Amino acid sequence: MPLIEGVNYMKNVTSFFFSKILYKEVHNISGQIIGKLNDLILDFNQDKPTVIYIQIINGRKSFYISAEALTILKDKKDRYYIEINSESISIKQPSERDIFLAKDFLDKQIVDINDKKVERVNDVRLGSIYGKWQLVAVDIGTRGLLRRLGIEYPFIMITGALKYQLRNKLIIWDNVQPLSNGIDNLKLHFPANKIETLHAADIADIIEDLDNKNRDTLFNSLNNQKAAEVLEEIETDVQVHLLKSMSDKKASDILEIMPSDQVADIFEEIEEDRAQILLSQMNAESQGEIRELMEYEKETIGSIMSKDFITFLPDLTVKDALTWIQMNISEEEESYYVYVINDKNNLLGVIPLFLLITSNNDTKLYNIITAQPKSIRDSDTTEDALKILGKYNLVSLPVLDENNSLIGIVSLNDIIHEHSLFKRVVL
Amino acid sequence: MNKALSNRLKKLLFIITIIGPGLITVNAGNDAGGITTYASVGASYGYKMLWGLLVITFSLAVIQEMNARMAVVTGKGLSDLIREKFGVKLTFFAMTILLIANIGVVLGDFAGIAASLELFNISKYISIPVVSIMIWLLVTKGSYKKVEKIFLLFTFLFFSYIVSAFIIKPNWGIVFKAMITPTIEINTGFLLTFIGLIGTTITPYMQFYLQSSIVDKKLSISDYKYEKLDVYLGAFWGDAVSFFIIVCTAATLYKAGITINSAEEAAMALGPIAGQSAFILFGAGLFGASVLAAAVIPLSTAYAICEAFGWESGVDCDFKDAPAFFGIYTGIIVIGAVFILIPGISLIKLILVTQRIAGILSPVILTFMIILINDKNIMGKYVNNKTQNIISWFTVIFIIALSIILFISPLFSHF
Repeated sequence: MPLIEGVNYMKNVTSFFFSKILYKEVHNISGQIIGKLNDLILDFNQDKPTVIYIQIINGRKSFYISAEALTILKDKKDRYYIEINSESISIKQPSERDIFLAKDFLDKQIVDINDKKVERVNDVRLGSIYGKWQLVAVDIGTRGLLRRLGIEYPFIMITGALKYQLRNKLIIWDNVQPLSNGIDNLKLHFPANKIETLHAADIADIIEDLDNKNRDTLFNSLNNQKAAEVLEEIETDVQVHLLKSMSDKKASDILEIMPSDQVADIFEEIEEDRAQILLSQMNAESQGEIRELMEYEKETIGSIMSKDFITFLPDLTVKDALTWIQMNISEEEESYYVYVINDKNNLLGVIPLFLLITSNNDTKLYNIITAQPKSIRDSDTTEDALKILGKYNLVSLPVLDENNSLIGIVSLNDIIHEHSLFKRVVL
Repeated sequence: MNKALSNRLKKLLFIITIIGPGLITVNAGNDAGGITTYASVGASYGYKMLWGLLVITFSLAVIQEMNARMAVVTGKGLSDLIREKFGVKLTFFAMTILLIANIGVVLGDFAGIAASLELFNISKYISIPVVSIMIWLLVTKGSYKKVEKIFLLFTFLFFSYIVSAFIIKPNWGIVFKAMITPTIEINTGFLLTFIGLIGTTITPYMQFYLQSSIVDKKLSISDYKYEKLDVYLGAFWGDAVSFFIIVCTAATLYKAGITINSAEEAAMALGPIAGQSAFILFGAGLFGASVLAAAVIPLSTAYAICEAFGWESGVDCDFKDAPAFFGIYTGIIVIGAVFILIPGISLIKLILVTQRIAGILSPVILTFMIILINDKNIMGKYVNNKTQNIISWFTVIFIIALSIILFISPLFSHF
């Protein structure tokens, strides 16, 4: 075991910060310096990213050594000593697909799954697990920055004197979603599985915080169902941006899953030719609904109403209605009423879902409807809807056209969304 | 038919929304430092530096285009890019340089506020505390955006220099000849003024500010052609105003042998258009431009530094959530304001000196930028072409060379 300045013995380290060894001298088994540690190559497809090669630079020459030969030691004064303890050094040729720790991960952005925030990697904690060096945590704190600058300990002394403890801010790897920062997305592909566990609205916030490249890569890594939920929550200019960089096929697949009123809003914002192309690739039912919604002027109820609602004819029984709902309606459906119409599509009345469930099975629907329910015209404004909803304490309203046909419903939620969007533009 | 028309109208509106902000940015960039430096260039050296203004206009256009391109291609701010490519140590260095240069420029702008209000007989001991608290509150309480336009309107008063220049009727032949005849004098005064001219035109903060405001526009690469037009127009239009300021002061003050030591003297070049009330025109313009810059620059500095180190930022945050952001923002304003309150300090001299510091420091940030924009991993096929590289490197080397000559010239002046 080598010695530094005589009597100071060193011991093996099993866990350390990457900045402690980055750009430091690397020694061979007999203590000679063979170069400087320039970077580490990691395999990101493991449970925890695992160091597979060490890049060493000697003058202008650069070479790669298998990570199994890496030993890290440190003395009592926290000075690190890097040793390659292998006689036969396996040397590797660099590949385009290699992911480097310093070049591709350090100083870049990641998503903290726990706090749902985009953060910057200040340092990385590596640990030896079953004889392999693995990435155990990411440091996003100011102390990590100070360590990188080489002034960690003076600062700790100063803050210590002020009775303030400067703590590390580590995120364990299970809560880290890495982002692809390279221009070529294939070159740097991090699996994006962790982010999918978050709520769509949280993913939307994170995507809005990112730059174009990361935004596209992260969004494209989501499955279509999740992507549709997320896209719905994203602010308009980012939506447009994402759609621009997506293939027609992928875009129309995702849009088909979304509610037609949302899709109609998006189509109002993108170039007409593209909207037509995307529209033509969607199924006939969605196409019809979306085209209809796009006819409406902005800020009218027609432009924000939803086409998803449940209607029944009046002489059905409660049992018929419930059976039909159980068979046909998916769990994500957001509905508080069923609507009863005649064969000309005129609204006869509404039945709250709760009433439907608690009513006698053989009762005919026309016996339990609330006749002449509050409704709104498709050409009315969101202000009008808000007034009615507020006055009568309702959560949604049926929308009628000039022939008194039921053509959609508008919920309090839709209006809040529209209003907050409008406010954002004014500011 | 109708639809085609409305589409074309939509497109036009879209282009206007892209182009507008860039022009406004440059107009606001003609702050206290800019106006005073250009005025003193004309007053002290006549038309002799017009060629320099022409040369750096091209540099400015190329550099701002680089910022725009980086913004559109990467969608990241300049300090983000610096951090990701150069690591913590070099980022720390770049941010220190930026901070020093920006504190300087803010100092200049507070001096501008004091000088402009002194024209209206308001003592700096009253104006500076009041205005700096007002700026701090406006920005942190979020109502700044609403009043920004008012201060911007003030800066349009400087267009009166253009009218003034035509009333004065200088010998345009001589003016244009000076524009294409490089003259340089190897003495400290000339070199310092020249560096100040560069420093105020290619200010380090502008690069960070411009890039992040373009990132905020969220443009796609297909809209880039309009953005390019925006920055080119901005650079040439901004420097056109500078050109007329120099012409005006050269034709009046330089001729009369007056060098600028006070705001009153600087205002005299507007005499031909406004007569006795020239000082009102100049004072109001200087005040608007200074307030605008004194609000924007500390803010943009705080954003840039927090972005680089991954600290929470934004005026919507609480002080508790974003202590670094508010600390930097407040700190710069306090330093700027307190310094001006030192009794007996020469405001005009202070403005000029700060622009020279910015000039000497500008090659640092430019070098970071040129390395970034030539990195294929970051920019892909949108790296600089040869001409862009030649012009940008020439600018860097030219400023460094001037600074070196500046520091060694006193050694040879005895021979």
